[in-house]
Amino acid sequence: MSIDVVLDGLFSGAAYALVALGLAVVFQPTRIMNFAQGEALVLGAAVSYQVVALWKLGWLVALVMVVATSIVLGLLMERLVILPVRLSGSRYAWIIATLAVALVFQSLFTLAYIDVPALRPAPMIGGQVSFLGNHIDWQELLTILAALAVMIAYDLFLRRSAYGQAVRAASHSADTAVLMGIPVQRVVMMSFVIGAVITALAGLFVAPVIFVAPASGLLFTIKGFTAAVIGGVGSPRGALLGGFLVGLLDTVVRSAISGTAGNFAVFAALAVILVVFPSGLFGKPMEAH
Amino acid sequence: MLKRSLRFAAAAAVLVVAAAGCSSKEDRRTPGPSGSAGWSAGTDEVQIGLVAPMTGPFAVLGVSQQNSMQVVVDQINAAGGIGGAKVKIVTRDVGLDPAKAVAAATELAGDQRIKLVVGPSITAFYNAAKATYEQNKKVNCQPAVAGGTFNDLTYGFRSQDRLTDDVERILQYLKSKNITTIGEVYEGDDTGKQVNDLLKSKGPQYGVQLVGYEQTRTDDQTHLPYVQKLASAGAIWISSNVSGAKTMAAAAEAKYKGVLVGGSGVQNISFLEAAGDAAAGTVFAAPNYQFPIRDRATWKAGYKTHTEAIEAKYGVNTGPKTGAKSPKGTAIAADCVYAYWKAADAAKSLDSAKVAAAIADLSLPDTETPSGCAIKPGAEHEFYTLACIRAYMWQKDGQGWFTADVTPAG
Repeated sequence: MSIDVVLDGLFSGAAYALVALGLAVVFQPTRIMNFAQGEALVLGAAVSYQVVALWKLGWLVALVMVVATSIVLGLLMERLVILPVRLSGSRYAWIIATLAVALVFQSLFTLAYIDVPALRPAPMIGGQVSFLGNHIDWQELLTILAALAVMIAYDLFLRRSAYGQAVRAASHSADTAVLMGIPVQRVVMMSFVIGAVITALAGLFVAPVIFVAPASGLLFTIKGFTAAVIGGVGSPRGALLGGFLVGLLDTVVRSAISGTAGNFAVFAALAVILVVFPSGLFGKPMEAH
Repeated sequence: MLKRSLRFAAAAAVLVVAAAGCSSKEDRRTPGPSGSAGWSAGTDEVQIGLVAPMTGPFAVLGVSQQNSMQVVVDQINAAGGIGGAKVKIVTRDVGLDPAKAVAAATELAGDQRIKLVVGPSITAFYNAAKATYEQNKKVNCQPAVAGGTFNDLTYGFRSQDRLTDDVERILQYLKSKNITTIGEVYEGDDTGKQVNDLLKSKGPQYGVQLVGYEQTRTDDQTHLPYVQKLASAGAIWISSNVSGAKTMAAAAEAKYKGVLVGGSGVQNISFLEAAGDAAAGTVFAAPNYQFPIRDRATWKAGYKTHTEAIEAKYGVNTGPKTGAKSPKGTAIAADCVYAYWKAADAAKSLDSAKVAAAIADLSLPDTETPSGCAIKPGAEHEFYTLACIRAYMWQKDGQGWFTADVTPAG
């Protein structure tokens, strides 16, 4: 097995980790696993493709536009998911609500890019860098570093800022948080926005390397979901570790044996981890329920 | 007196109505203008069904098929119709939903006004629908079904290149380049497995040995591990779906030294959009596809006429990123309608058994057909023979993307 394979695994893992983090951010205050999270990644890829490949405006403009549009997407998702959940009163309304939102955005992306099989702009930084005698694309390295930076930033935000403490309080008990004067509704809205921005940034970074199709959001959600469960649902650090584990395991086994074996290995690992650590590697029992 | 007058008037009225009725029936049997072949179809309208994805990710295929068929329908109607009957296309949009595809095929197969059905696209969808066509004795033509055979069907015909011909043409190309090993990176579906079997069985005839088959997944982010495993192969057969573009990109990333090859799906400019410059040098087998060959003087007459009619009526697809162009039509779908027209004229009938037999007996020259391929279905019920399947190579220069015909001589 070459070091190339490991680096590719880390790169894929970085993408999954950011999706998993987006899922965790929304899950913490809402207890909702947002199946539409992957659509934010497609949005990030679509905006970068539009701005960089078609409008030729450069990556800085793309970054600004990705952040702006993903904020709007986050706000829309919050309304489209939370309102039906509240109105329905059913415990399970979030499942169909988030899936419906995913399908709505998937259709919109497909309509907007009907002839485009992959939203693939040119890399931010072309070429490769030498690493332990091997070569890795700058874009892949950048994605891994970006995932680490985003993860650290969100962890600090969660632990050090007043708003982060409000998120943690709301995730422990929304009712108590309201009694303590915490604006839980605003916290929930903010979580959808932050989750969408983080996942859209993943789309911006990975789009030049991998093939993000307009209708591929759910695929990324499933991978991110697996990573989140392995790491511990609701745990940002767990999301990072889970993402890298999924990416590495899948890539290494796929390279050594076959594509089908890669998926099998990931889900077998998921099963074993859940038996040994029912709340995931970093999850706490309360967060997992 | 009054009573007698009333009886007479009533009797006259009955006669007039009866006569009108007879006359009306006669009118329906014998339409005004007779067809160019001087026979009467016995109906005012011939409907041709199209079962295709008109919306969703594969809409380009359905829309292209409809456009090309419409150009031929316009040509037929301008020439007086089929046996005097005007031709009309009835379309059913089935997206990528197999249940919808089978339901639409069943509906059109049972509709006596529909004389020919084109589609459903995709081998698996057609496999689910073809028994219905046979049971309903419905003539059908398939311009987007590469796998399987048609020689066991009475009413089904294929107007697409067979996988066997694609593989054979590519193997000829590899032999001409002294390439002796090939790997395959393809989905683990029927088509991927059939390509694998063909490479395994036919390869040795051309001195080419299959060294591996990497089955891809829809959620693959990259095909780099597959390409790295096949790095020593002189060629890699890639998928005709978008995953083929992933293999192209992975081959570029891995600095793969061999040649990428594939079937007719690789002619789609979406490969260029997805893979970018990595697509350059890829060789694909396809029925006559001269559009990306810049010198139009080399185009076959029927193909040129059809393609220019498509351009005039519907325009061209332009890749938003690469600027690569393709016509908004697919001539092999036009061949279905064209062949039906010629066969019905030859049979002087719309009876499905007679028309199906006449299609099998057709022998249309490549200068006449919309695709630029000779149509000789025969007992195989395959419109095209290997002679029409060419090997093309994607290339790029200062003016953009184009193809070169790299079919080995002889």
